[in-house]
Amino acid sequence: MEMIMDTKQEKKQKRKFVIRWVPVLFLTPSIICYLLFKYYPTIRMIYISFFDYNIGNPPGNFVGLDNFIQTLTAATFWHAFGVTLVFALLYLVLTFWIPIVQALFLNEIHRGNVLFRFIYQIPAIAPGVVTVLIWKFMYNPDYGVLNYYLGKLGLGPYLWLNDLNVVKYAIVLPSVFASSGIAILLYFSAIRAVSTEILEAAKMDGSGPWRRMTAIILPNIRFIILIQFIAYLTGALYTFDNIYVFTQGGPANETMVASILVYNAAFNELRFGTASAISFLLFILTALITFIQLRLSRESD
Amino acid sequence: MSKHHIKEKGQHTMKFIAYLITLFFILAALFPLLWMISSSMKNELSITANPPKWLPSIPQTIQVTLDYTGQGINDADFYEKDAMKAIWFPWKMNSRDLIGAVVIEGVKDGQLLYRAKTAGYSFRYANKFIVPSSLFNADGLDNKLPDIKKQKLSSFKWYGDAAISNEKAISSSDSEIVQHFQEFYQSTEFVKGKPQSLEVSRSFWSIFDSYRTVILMGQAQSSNGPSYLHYFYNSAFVTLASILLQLVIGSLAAYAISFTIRSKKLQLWLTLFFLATLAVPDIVLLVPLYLTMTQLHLVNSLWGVILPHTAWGIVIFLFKGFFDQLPRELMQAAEVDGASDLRKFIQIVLPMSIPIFTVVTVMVFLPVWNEFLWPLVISTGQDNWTITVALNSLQSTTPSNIVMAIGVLSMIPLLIVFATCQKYIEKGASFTGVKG
Repeated sequence: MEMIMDTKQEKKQKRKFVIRWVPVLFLTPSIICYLLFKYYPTIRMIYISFFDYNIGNPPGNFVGLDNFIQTLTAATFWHAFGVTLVFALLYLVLTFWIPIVQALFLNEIHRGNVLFRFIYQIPAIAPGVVTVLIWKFMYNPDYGVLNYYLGKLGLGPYLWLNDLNVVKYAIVLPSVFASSGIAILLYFSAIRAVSTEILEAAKMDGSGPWRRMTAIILPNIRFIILIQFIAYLTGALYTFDNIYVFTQGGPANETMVASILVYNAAFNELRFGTASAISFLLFILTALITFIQLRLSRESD
Repeated sequence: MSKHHIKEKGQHTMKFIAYLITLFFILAALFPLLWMISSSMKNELSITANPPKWLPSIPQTIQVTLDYTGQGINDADFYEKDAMKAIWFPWKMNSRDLIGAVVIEGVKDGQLLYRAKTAGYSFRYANKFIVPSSLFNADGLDNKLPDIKKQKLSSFKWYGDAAISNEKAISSSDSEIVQHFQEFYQSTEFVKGKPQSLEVSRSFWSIFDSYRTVILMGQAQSSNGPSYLHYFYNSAFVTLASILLQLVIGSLAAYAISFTIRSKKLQLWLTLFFLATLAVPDIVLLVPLYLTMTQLHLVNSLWGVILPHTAWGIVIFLFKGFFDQLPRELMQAAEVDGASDLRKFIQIVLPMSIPIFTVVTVMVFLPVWNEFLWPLVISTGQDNWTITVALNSLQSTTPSNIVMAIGVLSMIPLLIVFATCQKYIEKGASFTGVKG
């Protein structure tokens, strides 16, 4: 039926060749906004990265690949790149599995499930800046609550954000506590979607709740875990808010990740050309990750 | 079947462990929040106390009666100045005491002359400005009187003409705070009235002084920038404007793609045009977008924060996903009737799409209210700071209890939205699963 309708419409269009104004009118605001705030800046980023950008008289002098050469030969860039990877690794190892475990066990709880889901979300919906400030306050070496309680256990005192060996863990720790919010909901709804028939069949076969969890539920949600893994990795690679509010990249550049490098190059040093070059390199990295993501999801289908 | 269920091995341990783990994670998640709430109820002194205390201690109110018998002057101004000295000077000297409020009553020949009061939040907010040092200067405070009146830092009520009798026994409690005040009145000449009685009482409501500072206090010094509430207004404006723009622009575009365009190929290309932008993280576009905004002269304005939000692929993705599932029969019927696209949109699609509009509203509200990086870059002037940018900048200059109070207040809108729309957020989360 629809096919017939479609071909009829196509015939009509071919016959008349009229521009239909309504779709144009409806789409124009969005297309303008996307061109202005997404596509134009993307092109402009590539363009600017070839200039020694001068904000008073844009775009300044053309310098060819100088910005890229400078960036790629500078120790700061590779240092930042390394720190970014370490942070991504820390986030993955320390926090990625937590919402999966939380959702798996939440699934076993029937009484108060909605309430638990609600409480799990509270730290996640709090503004990131607020969470960081609470933790910064708790990390205070002199009167912070953490040093006090750890001292009771015979640990510390730690300098937390001022200790080069501890600062990275100190930045990741709040995410261990705060749970990743939406991710729990995703895993939870995926677990709920596992067909009850399979679960009942497994039960009949005599597999207990533990075996069902590890042998049936987990394999059944592996696709959503994979998608989340990539989304999480991308998020961790471009993380800015946490680290900036905690340390602004300090102490001694120990937490200087790529995103803060971009921010500093542009807004502290006013080297917009260099900042664009770094952004462009990040853009290529993103394209690579997206490509892998697409390949993976195609294979999973 | 159910018998089998009950008997099943491992069922009880599983339940037990599930509750245990869930409770552990929930306590871990709530611990920082509870500490924030507790800290917001302390004052500048008790917040840095070691060992830390979970329950904030309750400050005390000091009530002082000053006797002016034998004083010839009968001018309200004179007494107001005297009362201000009796409040601000000794308090400044003893600013490490946990004082919730100071009340001064002036009496003369057994009759009440005035009652003056200063609450702890006013004192702590303005003392650096009103009494800059403890080397007191009576003329200095006289000069600050207009500021005290203008900002309502201390209240002063004049009863001199009404003749209310006030007979009070000469008394004085022996708490430490009272002794400090007593010493001041006796050892200096600033206050003309003689202290007749000094009493203390607990002032429970003073534990909310941080919140009262945030909500009630304006600017103590004109150079101090806008009041704290101003940042909340900015955030609210940015969030509401972003939601409205995204709802209108996004729904129209999604409607056009899924209802008015017949060519499948064009549909696909348009969708790709909008959704491809999702792959580019914000940090990559930060610098060029900023430079674009300088070209548009939108740097340091709230619209500079708002407008880029109109290009969020996820909004069109959500709308289009919903519209594609709507039944087509009604639309075809309306087409036969010759209804225009605008009428179809308003009269048929909108009433059926309330759930998706709610989902989008909530899904936009949370990230925009919490957004930090973009406002940080684009709102360079203090007047245009949103609450997150303000918090980041205030953290080093503002006492922690005020920062914590602002933090708690900034969470309230999120909690309200979340508590009322939990269902929709969970729905939206499963829609946006791919994005995470």
